[in-house]
Amino acid sequence: MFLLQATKSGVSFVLFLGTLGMVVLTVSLIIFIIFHQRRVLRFQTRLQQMEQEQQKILLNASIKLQEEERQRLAADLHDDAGPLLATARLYLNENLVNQDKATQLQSIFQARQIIDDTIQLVRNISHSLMPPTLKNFGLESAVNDLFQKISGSGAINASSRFHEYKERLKEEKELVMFRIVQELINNILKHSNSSFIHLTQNVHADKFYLRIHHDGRGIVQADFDKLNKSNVGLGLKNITSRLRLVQGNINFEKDISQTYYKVTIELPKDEPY
Amino acid sequence: MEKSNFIETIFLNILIYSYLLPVLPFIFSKQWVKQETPVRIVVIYSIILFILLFSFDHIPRVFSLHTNQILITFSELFFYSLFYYHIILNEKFKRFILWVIPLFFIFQILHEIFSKRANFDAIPSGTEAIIILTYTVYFFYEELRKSPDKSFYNNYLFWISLGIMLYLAGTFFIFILANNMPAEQVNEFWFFTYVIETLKNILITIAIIMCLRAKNKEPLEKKQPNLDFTP
Repeated sequence: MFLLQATKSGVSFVLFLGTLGMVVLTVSLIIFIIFHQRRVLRFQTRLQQMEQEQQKILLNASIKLQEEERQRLAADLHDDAGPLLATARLYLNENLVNQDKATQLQSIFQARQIIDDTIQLVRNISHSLMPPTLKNFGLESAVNDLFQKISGSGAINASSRFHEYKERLKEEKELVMFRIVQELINNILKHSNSSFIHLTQNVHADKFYLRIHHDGRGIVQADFDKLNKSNVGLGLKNITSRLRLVQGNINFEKDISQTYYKVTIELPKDEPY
Repeated sequence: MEKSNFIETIFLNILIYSYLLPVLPFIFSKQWVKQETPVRIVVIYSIILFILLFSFDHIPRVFSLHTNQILITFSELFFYSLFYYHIILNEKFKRFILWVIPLFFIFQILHEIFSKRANFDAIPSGTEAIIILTYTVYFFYEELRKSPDKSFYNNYLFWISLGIMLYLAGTFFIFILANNMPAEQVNEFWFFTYVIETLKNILITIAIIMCLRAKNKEPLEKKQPNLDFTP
């Protein structure tokens, strides 16, 4: 106010400085907005690119795994079922009618034995695709079954405990979880050299949890993320893509005691029917 | 002095006719631009301001200079408020805008009754500038918080807001101090308000053309042939 009343040049100075200040402030604000937006846009583009790359890696891993699975199936059918059926066919050739009764009976018996073996083989292949225990009795039974088989081998002590699994997950979720557990167990058996594996299940709030402990060599979350982005670690990528399907999360960490590694899987519980 | 008056008259005339600039693309545009409410508000505002300024300068005065200024200030607040009411998303802020219009009208009346009559309505103009600047800053803040899918300056609303902001910021101190300065000193600076107001109208015109061009690109899909299978 003093300036306003002071002199003519004082008012002019306030006017000039004020107007200039306001214009500069406005222009600065606009420049800030533009630069900020550009930075956000650049960041978003980079994020999208990374996301796309990650999706591509996961897709490749999934395709590769599918192909491996098909090759294994083809090999099982071609190398095992094929020769068995061909042998059975040999026993049941046209000359059989010209043979004496005892030879005929022996050939039929042999052929039947081979066909039984083939049936068992096909059943095994089918069970490896969809375990019947999982389908009929659920995840708990299937996991217990798997762990009993592992323990039964005598190489490693495997145990599991389901704390709260009265309400089963949806069939497709159970299958995803079972495949993930299979993959993790497979990795532990192959790479960790551990003496025990223990699986615990529980629920909290709207989440379903599974945790696997083992005392061998393991990985932590940073290793998992790194492997997920690299071209190796096909099984881990497959776990990620399966988890994405059920909107689940996985966390690899080391126990506070630094003795055990633990893998925790978390996924949303199904809505009650 | 003669020469400066001549230049000032030229600037004033440029300003008056610059209010027709935003109207031109609107007239020649297709039906859909006419449906864009913020554009319609800005165009109506430009027409009203043109009438007020033109009637004040060219034809025998219907209103006094003072009344004319009051009308201009209120028109600005009213139309800018409507403009921001349509583009701001926050419901609370929208309600605030709706309250501001009648309150400002009451304030103008009270100011007329109780204040000493001056050449220029400096206080209402300054208040109006602060209110509209608040709207503009809030609008920019809202835009910054959004996750952008394209640059903000590709949005025509940005250019309209930029014009409004520059105009209000550039004229704020001149309007506020207009009554505290001798007439000849006010005249020295007044031409600057014409320049900045003309700049605002140019920016608004650019915004309307941008809106027109952006919308013209949209119906491309209709140009595609029918790809459906028809036996």
